[in-house]
Amino acid sequence: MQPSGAAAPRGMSAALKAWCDTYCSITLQAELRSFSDGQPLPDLPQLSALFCPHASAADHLLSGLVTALAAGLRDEPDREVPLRHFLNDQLALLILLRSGSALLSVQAVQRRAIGLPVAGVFSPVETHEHVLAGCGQVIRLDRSEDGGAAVIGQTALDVYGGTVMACMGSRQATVITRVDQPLLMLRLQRAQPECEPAQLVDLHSGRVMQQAASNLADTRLELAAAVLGQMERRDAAPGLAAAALGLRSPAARWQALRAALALDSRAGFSALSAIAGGSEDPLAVPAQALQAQLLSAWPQLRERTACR
Amino acid sequence: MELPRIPLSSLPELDTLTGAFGSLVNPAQLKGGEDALVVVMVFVYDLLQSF
Repeated sequence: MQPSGAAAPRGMSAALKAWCDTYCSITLQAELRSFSDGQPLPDLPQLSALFCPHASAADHLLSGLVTALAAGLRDEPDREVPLRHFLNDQLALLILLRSGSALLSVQAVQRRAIGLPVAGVFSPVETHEHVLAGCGQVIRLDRSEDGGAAVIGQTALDVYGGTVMACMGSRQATVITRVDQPLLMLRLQRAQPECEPAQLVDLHSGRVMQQAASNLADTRLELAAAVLGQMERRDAAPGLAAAALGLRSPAARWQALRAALALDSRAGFSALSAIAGGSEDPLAVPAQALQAQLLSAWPQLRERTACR
Repeated sequence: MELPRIPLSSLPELDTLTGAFGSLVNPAQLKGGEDALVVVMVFVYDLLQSF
């Protein structure tokens, strides 16, 4: 408790804490946690109010932030803003709140003509955006499958203060194509539970040009499998075999399986057999091929794993 | 009878390669890639701080 008559705390950290205490209520933070856990945005009143085109909640949140940061910089001119941020000549981004996979951020996009995109990134991320100021144009991309080939529908949208947009997962994306007046946007994102990779898709042909893990946990598992494999940590084999059977992306699970097989062929082959026998498992086909390859080279694997 | 030691290099990769998180940065896109870059930077920073 502040002693009576003592000066209020000053400085950037105090200003930011005051902003958080005033504007980021416990309810708002709890709602962000619920959003991360999968609750639909309309069920979360304080969070959804930030993405309502006619409500002042988002303006209120950000004007409070700007006031707090200005006060902090006045007290400590050399101090860096203690929020995670990114800055280049086109974009400034501040992460305001984070809970689980949910992220509330604000970004400012500089004025420029970007031009029509030739490719789009589709990620399994749900994104809600509220344009608070500025104007420009975005292209909304809708991905559908037509006889096995991806077809990308494109719709140009003018955006300005009050525009609210939502992209639900790896079938939709938006690309900024023109910024007439610098765009200030509040953005809410959460990772979808599916471990699909993020894909860069050619908009003309629908061909996937490149893909990458869409979340850190998959990459962390792949790195751990690579390091533990190279360190010959046999004690990690059961954990890697369990990870190969787990809920991460097929690419990460496959790397865990390879490492488990190399470290301990019994534990690895047992996981391989389970994957090969799972009809719904996306790794079933390559696992069956690998199982046949290993059994052909080392028939004793069948006997030893069968009598566990 | 001992179980075999299987060389890691003899185990095939999947047909479709998947890059690490954050490696999909398309300069033509402002969205998606930039956020991933922030998260990767934070991840590396947190790793360094934990040593």
